Amino acid sequence: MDYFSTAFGAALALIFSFDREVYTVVWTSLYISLIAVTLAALPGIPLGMLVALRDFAGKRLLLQTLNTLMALPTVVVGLLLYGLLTRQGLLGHLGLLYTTGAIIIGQTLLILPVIWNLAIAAAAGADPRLLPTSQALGASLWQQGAMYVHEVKFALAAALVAGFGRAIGEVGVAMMVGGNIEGFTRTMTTAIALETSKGEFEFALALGILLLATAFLVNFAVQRFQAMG
Amino acid sequence: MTHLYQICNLSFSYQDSNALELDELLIEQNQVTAVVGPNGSGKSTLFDLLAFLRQPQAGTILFRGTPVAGSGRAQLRRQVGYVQQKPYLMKMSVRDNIGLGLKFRGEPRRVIDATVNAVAGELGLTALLDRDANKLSGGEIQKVALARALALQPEVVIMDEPFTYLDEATVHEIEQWLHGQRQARTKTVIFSTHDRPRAQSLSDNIVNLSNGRAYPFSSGNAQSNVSQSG
Repeated sequence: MDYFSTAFGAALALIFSFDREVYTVVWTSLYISLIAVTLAALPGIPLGMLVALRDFAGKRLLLQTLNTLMALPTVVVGLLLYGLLTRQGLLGHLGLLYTTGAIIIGQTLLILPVIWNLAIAAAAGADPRLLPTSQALGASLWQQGAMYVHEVKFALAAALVAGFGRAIGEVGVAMMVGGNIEGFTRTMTTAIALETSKGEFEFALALGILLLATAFLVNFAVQRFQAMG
Repeated sequence: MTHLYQICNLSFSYQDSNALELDELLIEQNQVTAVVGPNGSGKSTLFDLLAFLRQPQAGTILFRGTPVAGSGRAQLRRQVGYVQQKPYLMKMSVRDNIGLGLKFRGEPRRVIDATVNAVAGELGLTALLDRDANKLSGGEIQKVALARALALQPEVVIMDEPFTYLDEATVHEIEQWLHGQRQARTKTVIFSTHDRPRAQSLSDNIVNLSNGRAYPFSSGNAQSNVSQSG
């Protein structure tokens, strides 16, 4: 307990002294995950609306696949992406391996099924009168989708938070295709794993506290947004 | 009289049951038509078809003498203002709800504002324009939905059970509006009700629906629109 409380005190000191190394890692994690959420939301939300609004052959199979992909192990995504981005891989010539771009691609692929699937669920939870009302008012398919986004925006915000939570908390993709390079591709999760193994428990704990604080702040912001409704 | 709608040998069914079987049904242009029938008689299904929201599995619907084809339905919806039985108002202000259909059509803001103000004035909704549409009473919701339909200046106004869940004052206002339409003869209005005496007093024509079939109706001032009953 003494070890833990000492480390906790040292971790707080690192946080409140605005330790450059700590905050570089935090910033790297934040911007990677925010870009990944944006990139996943851009197709994920429209696709979610489209799947919810239209019946088509294979819809059930698609939903089952998305459900399965929601639980995709992060290391599997990291492994497949490594195979593509490594020098001998199909996309090796792009030189993306061990860059933040590679982590962003991996996290986007990881959370796309989450946002897509939760967007479908959000649209399915909309009032059943919404679609005929929009159609009766002459809305095009895109306008119908936009009305769904408007009417279920709070559920969609929760979908984005779920995606962000999965992205910022994952370690497999960031480790395998990011390489955990200090000051460049080191994220909060990979840094926590590394620093703990090195015995730098207080540094890892400081990052752990900031990771939790980030999750709390994002959820708090979304709850405030939902309360506005 | 000019037939706005001509329905011939129409059949529509849901997965588990037949909803409508109509041999022939005519809706006259610029007249008020009441569809009378109990719950489950097919009124809402008929209205969805007349509003071009559904497509019949068999038979034809002619609108102004032209058969309604699948791909043309979206365009034809713009001729119809449809007020559903329990209207859904979007989570936005009354003003934005009334102008929504015009916005979908890409009308400029000033046209939308002018139309919304005019329609709201006609229906006594001016004081509600900046209110949140989700904080209205049942009667106010019904009137906003009617205003939203009228803002599109449709050729046809369809109202599914417009008197249900309404207070007496709003019922009276809707009745007055229907009386006005009957006299003006500038729009085709179709509404449904369970109440036969009300249908007779407010409409030019009556369609009597029961178990998805239309039957002749011949009493009072209103005339039957069913040429051949199913």
